[in-house]
Amino acid sequence: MTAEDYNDCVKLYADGLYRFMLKSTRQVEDARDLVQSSFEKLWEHRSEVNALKCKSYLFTIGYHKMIDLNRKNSRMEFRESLPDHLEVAPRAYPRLKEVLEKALNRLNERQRSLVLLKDYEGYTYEEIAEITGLNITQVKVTLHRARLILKEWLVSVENVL
Amino acid sequence: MYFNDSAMDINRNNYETFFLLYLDRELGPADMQAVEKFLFENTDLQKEFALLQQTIFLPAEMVFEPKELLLHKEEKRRVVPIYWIRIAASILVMITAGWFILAEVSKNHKGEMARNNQAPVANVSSKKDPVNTVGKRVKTNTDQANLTREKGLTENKNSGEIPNQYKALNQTGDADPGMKNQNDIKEKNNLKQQNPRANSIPDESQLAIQKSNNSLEIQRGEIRTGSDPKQITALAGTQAPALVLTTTISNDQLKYEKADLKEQDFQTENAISIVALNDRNKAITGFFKKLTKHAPDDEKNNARKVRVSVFQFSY
Repeated sequence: MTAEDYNDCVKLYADGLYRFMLKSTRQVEDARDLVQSSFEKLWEHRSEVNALKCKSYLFTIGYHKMIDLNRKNSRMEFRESLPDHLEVAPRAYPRLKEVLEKALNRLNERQRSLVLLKDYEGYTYEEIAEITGLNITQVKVTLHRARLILKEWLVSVENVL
Repeated sequence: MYFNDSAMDINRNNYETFFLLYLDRELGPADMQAVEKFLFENTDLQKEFALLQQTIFLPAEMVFEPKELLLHKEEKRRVVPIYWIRIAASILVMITAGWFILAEVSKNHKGEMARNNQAPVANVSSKKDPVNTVGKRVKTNTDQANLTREKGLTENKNSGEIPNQYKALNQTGDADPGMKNQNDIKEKNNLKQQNPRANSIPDESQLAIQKSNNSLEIQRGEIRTGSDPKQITALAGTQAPALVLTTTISNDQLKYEKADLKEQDFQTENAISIVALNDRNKAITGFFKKLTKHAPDDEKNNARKVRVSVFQFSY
């Protein structure tokens, strides 16, 4: 990819990568550092990367950097909620978003990443498998288990609500 | 590529997997229609489908603000228009440079050719054919640099005077107009080496001057005349002790000695004198000079001839 392709990649995918990092780490500074380091690596290897696959390459780098960071810091405690400016659009059920954010914290690191890659970025199972280094069946099973955990959490909260 | 379990149809035992695949958009059109049909037929499962549907996170708009820091700005290439004048100037420069290069190469080539052809070219007449050397054009190794000059020198033996032509040559070096057209006539002044017997050279003696090549340079200098060779300590233009090669009458073998210019056997009959004029650049430049015997067919005039040939030895 050329420098122009790289710049296009920044313009198109920097926000999405930042969102993925922020949802995964729930730390703004960590998310920014991960985004920056991911793009730095993309720039260094731009000659080896096909411009059409720069997004997948970028998220692969970001995903592994995020895993490394979490393992390094052993930081499994996330903030209770995102800053106000990161609030998602309200659903029909006003508190559902808040409930889902809490439910997301109940997922383990892999489940959370896969859910984010699937829901936020719209990757297919195959693409997620490429990014995470898992096979398609693992992706499918992991995602399904994460959905069932979220559903159970919603049911339990709904009963309370 | 759709991820589906099309090998089996949706039923009440596996509907959850189909629901999740449906929500993840991993089913093909046929399987999706099958799920929708299944939901339509099994209304009690629609609530469960709705709960799973709510587990889907909606993308939130987030902006990575320091995006500009990630961009790499390329330096825009400046496009310089090419005008005809620039093209013409470039061509002119190339032609000029090429001309200079060719001239330099040609000059060097000539220099090499000259050095290669600097074998002794003195065509000194032998005793056996003294007559034929009179007025004979002396050939050189290099045609282009060949300057053969045959000039008859007539001198009255009795009068002991040098002919007018010879005087003019000795004094001015430009006596022969034809030589002015030659580029390499510098040596002619130095050819006027003192010959004690010059005064006795009979009429019709001729002086042949041969230049071996263009690179031969003999500086002009003061013409030395006189009868005493000991007075000659150095030739004009020489910068080092001269090398004097002389022959003896007895055995005709060349001998040499390093010394200031001497011509001991110069006066002997049929002697060959070789006088170095310059030993610059690993070369000895000089000339051969021979005074022939009396011409057998010119007994009454007692004609004698002197032949001079310029040479240059490389070592």
